[in-house]
Amino acid sequence: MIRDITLGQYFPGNSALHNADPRTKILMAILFIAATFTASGTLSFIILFLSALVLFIVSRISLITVLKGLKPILFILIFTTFFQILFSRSGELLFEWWIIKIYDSGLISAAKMIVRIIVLVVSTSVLLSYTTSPIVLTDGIEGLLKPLAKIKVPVHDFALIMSLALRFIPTLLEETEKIIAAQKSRGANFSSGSLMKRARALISIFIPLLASAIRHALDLSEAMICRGYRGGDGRTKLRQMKIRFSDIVWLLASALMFAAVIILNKYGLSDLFGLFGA
Amino acid sequence: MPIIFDNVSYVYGEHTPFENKALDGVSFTIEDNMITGLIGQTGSGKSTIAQLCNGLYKPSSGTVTVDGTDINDKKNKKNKSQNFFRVGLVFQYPEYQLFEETVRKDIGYGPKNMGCSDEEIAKRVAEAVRFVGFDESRLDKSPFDLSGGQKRRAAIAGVIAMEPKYLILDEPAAGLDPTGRDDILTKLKQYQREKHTSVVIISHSMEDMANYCDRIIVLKKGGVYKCGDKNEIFSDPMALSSLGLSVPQITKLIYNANQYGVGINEPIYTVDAAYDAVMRLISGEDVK
Repeated sequence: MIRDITLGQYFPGNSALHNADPRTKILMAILFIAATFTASGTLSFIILFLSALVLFIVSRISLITVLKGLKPILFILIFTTFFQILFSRSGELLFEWWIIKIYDSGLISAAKMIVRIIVLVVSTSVLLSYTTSPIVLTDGIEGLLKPLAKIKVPVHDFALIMSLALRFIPTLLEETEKIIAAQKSRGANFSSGSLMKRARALISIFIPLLASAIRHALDLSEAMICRGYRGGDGRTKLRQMKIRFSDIVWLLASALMFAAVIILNKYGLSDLFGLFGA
Repeated sequence: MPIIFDNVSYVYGEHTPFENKALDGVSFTIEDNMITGLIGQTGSGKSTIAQLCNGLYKPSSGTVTVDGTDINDKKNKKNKSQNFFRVGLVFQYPEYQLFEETVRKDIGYGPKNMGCSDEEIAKRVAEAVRFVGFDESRLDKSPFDLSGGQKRRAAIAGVIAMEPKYLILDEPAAGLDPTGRDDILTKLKQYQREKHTSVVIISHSMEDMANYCDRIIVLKKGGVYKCGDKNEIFSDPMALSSLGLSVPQITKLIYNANQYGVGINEPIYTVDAAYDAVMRLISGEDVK
């Protein structure tokens, strides 16, 4: 059950997106997020959707993987769609039965909502988790935040903390599973009984887990000291990050997409037809 | 009645890219009133078997029968939770599961979940503590303040206090020093002899198996390789080493000595037995 969480799931590959610089991908993700939240016109949404589709195709991640990633938000999707359709009360009335009235504006805003959520999830997960390993990602974050080091922000330490946290997610998950199994074997009941009883049963998981996290932290810090770790100053990197021509193309394309979304917000679908008609 | 595995298979992560067959159609019986050793290389399915015994895992196919009932039978759901108490399972490094404020409370956690009265819990804690040789003066300390060996004892006591009919221990002596190791295994043997329950010890060490177990089940990559008493298991040291397992060193020594014509015909798997056999051999020759 716990293993269904897809946080930080990375699929090794050799696509153009896999090979792009992590800093590029982070900036692209920011542009995509900004675009999804500024889009309002129908045309903008079409562009947004097509751009996300391009990301998905270029990444060569299987459709099943992406759909699985969408599974956790399926409920939100259905829920919001349902309310958008039922409670919009403007535009043209398309369908009426008993108290249910469906208007065209409801359908349109529901469709926009769906596109917005799907693009948000798919673009960020394709860019930041499916095609970027957690370690490379933290390297990228460190690289982007580097200017802050000038004003004495401990960027390197933040990056280290982040990559360690990511690194220990699977380890702690495995341990959680073990602890749950062990406490179940001693008769702990996590799924029935009063709320208080269940909360108490959870304590039997949290305390050992906390103890083990602290144990790992102590062991790790000692191991790091033994191997001569002394912070970020003068440290070189195994993986040198390099902005290549393709990275600039990616960035420009994303910026263009963002600009197009903003400009086209003013125009609807009918304007497009008008354009061709003229 | 024994625990019976009938043609049990278990697949981790079924229908995912990470599918991994841990057990493939294994059948064996864990007999009553004796110590059974479960031995095999890493990845041979030992720990999986342990968790199949008490119903934490459900077999992908086949049945696990405890006391004559299929523990995964959907008809009796109540059976499921009862089974945790009937088959006590001590995990690898069980000290990492201690969590209560005091050792006394932690050992009493299992009995409390079973719905025992306070007096009953106190009685069981006292008995379990005696069986594992835990220092009683430390019962009201925090389990996090104990030494490694004492933590291990407290954790094992926590399962013994549930008075399970079957006690399964996954590597109970792993990571302990030689004295602590021998002590815990000896205590477990005493426990079994006194309570006449069924105890299963999972281990890598043939030495431990030879010294403490009555019956041994040898696993190899998801299946049962051999199953029987010590004589049957250790009769062919070469076959065992081809599995990446070894016979006890003393058995190997005698085996090699016999290759040079020493002529000890009885099976040897403890140093004491070897000593007796050698002494008999020497005194026999003296008589000649």
